[in-house]
Amino acid sequence: MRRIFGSKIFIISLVIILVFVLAALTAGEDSRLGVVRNILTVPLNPLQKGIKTVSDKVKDSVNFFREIRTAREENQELKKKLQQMEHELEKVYRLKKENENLKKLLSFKEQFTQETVGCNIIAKDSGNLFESFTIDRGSKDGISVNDPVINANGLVGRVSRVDLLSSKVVSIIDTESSVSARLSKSRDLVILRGDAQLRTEGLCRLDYIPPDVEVAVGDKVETSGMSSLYPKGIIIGEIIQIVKNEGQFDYYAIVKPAVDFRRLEEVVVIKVGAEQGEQQ
Amino acid sequence: MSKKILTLISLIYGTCLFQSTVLEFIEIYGVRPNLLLIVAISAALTRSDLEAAFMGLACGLGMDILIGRALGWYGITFFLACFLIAQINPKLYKENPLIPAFFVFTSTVAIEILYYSISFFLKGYDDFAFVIIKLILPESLYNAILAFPIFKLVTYLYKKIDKYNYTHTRL
Repeated sequence: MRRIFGSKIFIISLVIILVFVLAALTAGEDSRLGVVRNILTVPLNPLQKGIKTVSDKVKDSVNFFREIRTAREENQELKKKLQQMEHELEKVYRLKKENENLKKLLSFKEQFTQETVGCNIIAKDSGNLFESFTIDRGSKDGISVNDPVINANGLVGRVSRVDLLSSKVVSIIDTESSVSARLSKSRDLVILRGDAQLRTEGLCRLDYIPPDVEVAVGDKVETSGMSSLYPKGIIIGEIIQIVKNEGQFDYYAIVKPAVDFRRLEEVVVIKVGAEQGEQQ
Repeated sequence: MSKKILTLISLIYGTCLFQSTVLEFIEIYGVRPNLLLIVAISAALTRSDLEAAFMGLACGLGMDILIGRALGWYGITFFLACFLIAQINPKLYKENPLIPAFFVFTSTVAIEILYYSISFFLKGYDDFAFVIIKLILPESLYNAILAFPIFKLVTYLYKKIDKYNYTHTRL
């Protein structure tokens, strides 16, 4: 009896030690042992894609009737907007020409020279404490860890894990995310962090704002380009509230990201890592 | 034996698939249940301790891979939780739906609070109460509600496996 108990303890501690070793080996984001994850993610990938397409179809057919009602109103609104936009576009063309000329004068380099790849989101995170998702491209398509992820509106996040056919993206509202950011108006450097409480509302917070910096509601926030992760000048969002604590030196602000994380479907990955690899 | 392992592996794969796709639609106030944990605890309530512990380890590692952080945290906690629960399971009356609900509830609370307190001590977020009240407790309740049906499903599966093994060893 005693021997059996002893051997059980032995098995338990052996497993715990092995799992600890596994954890230590896979903790780094670019560890080679990450291949272990392919055991689960590769067979799951086509099934996840299948379920995603079926559920999208169902959602579409349910939404179809609801949308007809709103479509007419939206149509009129959009027509008005289109007229405005055409005006703006003319302006933009003029500014673009001007900008090109000025850039030539300053011999400025173009920002997004990197290759990009479009991805679909095929699965959401399974925990309640995180905000990350799975996309349907992996190392086979040249994606590498820490590649920035954007969509048409602005910054979404970065790639945290790469498997063969899929990758994990940590969004900027996840509690583990922090982005070096810049206020568009005053050009001050700040840090954008995910917050457990704000995450549930799709918001994040701007930390370490020095007291001498003027911040106002409505200010735009963009990436600073100071860290090597994100290219400079990607729109992140705008400030919707400023919170000042009694007796504390600095204060923080709440930022509404330009990306709507609840309705995110397609994203674009900028292949920064692949290019750096080539250069080396 | 190999049939048994194959069945259990497909059970875990199926649960992972469900967890990462369909669960999005039964979310309540942004909180979704944790099917892998319920499956692991159900196994712990019906099987011998080491078997349950390894089932818990497999479910936990699946959870780790789905979340995409370092492998191992949920693996270890599920492993230990299943081992401990399996120690006392012969003394329980399992037809009572409150038994799986209770065990699933307590282990969800314990595991998630443990996880969050570690990341709390490492990074120091000041909204501990919010996370417990708005995320961990609702998740535990949701898990507890789903516990009995999933427990029934898992016990049914194990019964089938046992029956198959029994007839094939007799032949």
